[in-house]
Amino acid sequence: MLRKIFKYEWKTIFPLLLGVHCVGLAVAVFCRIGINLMGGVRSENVSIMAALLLTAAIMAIGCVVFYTYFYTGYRFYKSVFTQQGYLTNTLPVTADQLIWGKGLTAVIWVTIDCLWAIAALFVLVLSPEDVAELIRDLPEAFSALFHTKAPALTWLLVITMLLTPFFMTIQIYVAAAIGNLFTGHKLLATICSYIGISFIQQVFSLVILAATAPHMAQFNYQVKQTSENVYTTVNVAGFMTNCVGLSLAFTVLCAVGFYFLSRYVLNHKLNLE
Amino acid sequence: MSVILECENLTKRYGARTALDHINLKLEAGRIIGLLGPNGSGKSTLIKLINDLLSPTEGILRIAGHAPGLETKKIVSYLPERTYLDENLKVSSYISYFTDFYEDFDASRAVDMLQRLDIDPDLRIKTLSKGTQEKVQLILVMSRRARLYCLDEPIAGVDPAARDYILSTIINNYDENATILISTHLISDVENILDEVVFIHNGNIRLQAQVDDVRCNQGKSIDELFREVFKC
Repeated sequence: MLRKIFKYEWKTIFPLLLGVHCVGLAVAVFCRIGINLMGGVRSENVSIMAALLLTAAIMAIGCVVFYTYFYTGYRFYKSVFTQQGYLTNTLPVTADQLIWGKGLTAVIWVTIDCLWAIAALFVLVLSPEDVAELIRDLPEAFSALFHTKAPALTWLLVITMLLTPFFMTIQIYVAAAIGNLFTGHKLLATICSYIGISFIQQVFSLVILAATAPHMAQFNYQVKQTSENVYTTVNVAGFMTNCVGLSLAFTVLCAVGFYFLSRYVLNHKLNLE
Repeated sequence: MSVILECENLTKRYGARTALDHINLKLEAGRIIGLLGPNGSGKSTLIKLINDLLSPTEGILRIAGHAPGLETKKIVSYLPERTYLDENLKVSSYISYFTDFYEDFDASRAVDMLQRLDIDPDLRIKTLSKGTQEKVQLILVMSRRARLYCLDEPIAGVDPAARDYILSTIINNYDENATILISTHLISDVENILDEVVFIHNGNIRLQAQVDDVRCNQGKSIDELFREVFKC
């Protein structure tokens, strides 16, 4: 059933998002051509029009990224908590299958979207020589990333990058689930829930970091003693590793909590009045 | 006859408002049952509880011995009072969708009914009139070989000719062992097809009776009895 949910969700959102991304890429290509015709943005005398075009293209790329994310969230809201929910919620599937089936589609699109945004930015600003150089240096750069003095930090950042689409998706799903609990204006309640969750999460994140950062810094002090003075320096890589690790742990905890809350609402608090 | 639906002290409250108030109800399988009551009496709430779209505040609800959930969704076919079809999809997409998700869905029956109504399966839902969308939805719901059909206001908002079609579709497409629960306030249109009626008012069951008993013992039609019971 999970596969079927995924299949239909994918089929439903694929044409629209494909179209949006094609249009977004076309905008980037046209802007690039326009910028080139105006002398480019690398020369010392950049024209205002070229700068405006570059800004417009970056904004267009940003809009596509935001649209994709919020559209996948809206799809979940619409298919589960509005009139379409009368069908979705009477299918012989579990809440887990529903969340995972729809969620995986959203995760894949958010991931595609990030890669697409990088590609679109490359189209916009890089020359063929830059791309060739990038491709040539890429293996070495990757290798260097994992042979730094703090490979743990690199790994944590990679894991964070891989988990971010999952986290973004479940965050918007839990907002929709909370919005469903309201008797009226559910879409507004969903938007407010999303903003509220993001705000609370940021505050908690800051509080945790503020509370633990001094201790973590202490752990990473390196004391170098000379004959005359005592120098104390902070091991930045170690400090960052701890901060990113803590932040990742908090994010994972939130994601797990959001998942179970969404599941609970679907199982016990569905409110399709 | 086996019991298909059983409610014990079933209560549903929306905040301070009580939609269903400790109702006790037992429905036997193999019958066409009218769930009759004025607007806001609790009919749709009961049907949504049966379909697990709402959770009861108190009490127990069982469908073929199971609490509403995965098992009951396999045997209950639900027609809501509103259209749930995604207007961007084609009719044929829904045939595939129902075939994929419901083991008891008979696609050939659905296609046959669509052909008889001259509805092109390749049309998108948004190109169909409201009445045709409702007919498509009814065809999908009645093409399942379910044990319990819950039809919430199936004939409200459609013209008399469409009502006749809907009612004939219901009668001609259900298995004798299946149960049909029809919620409506348009009594005269449905009373000829009913075996049993349940009158509901302000969240309470006011009457549960066999249609023949009402006619023979009280000498009244269901419509007359309804008007008498719910007289303002």
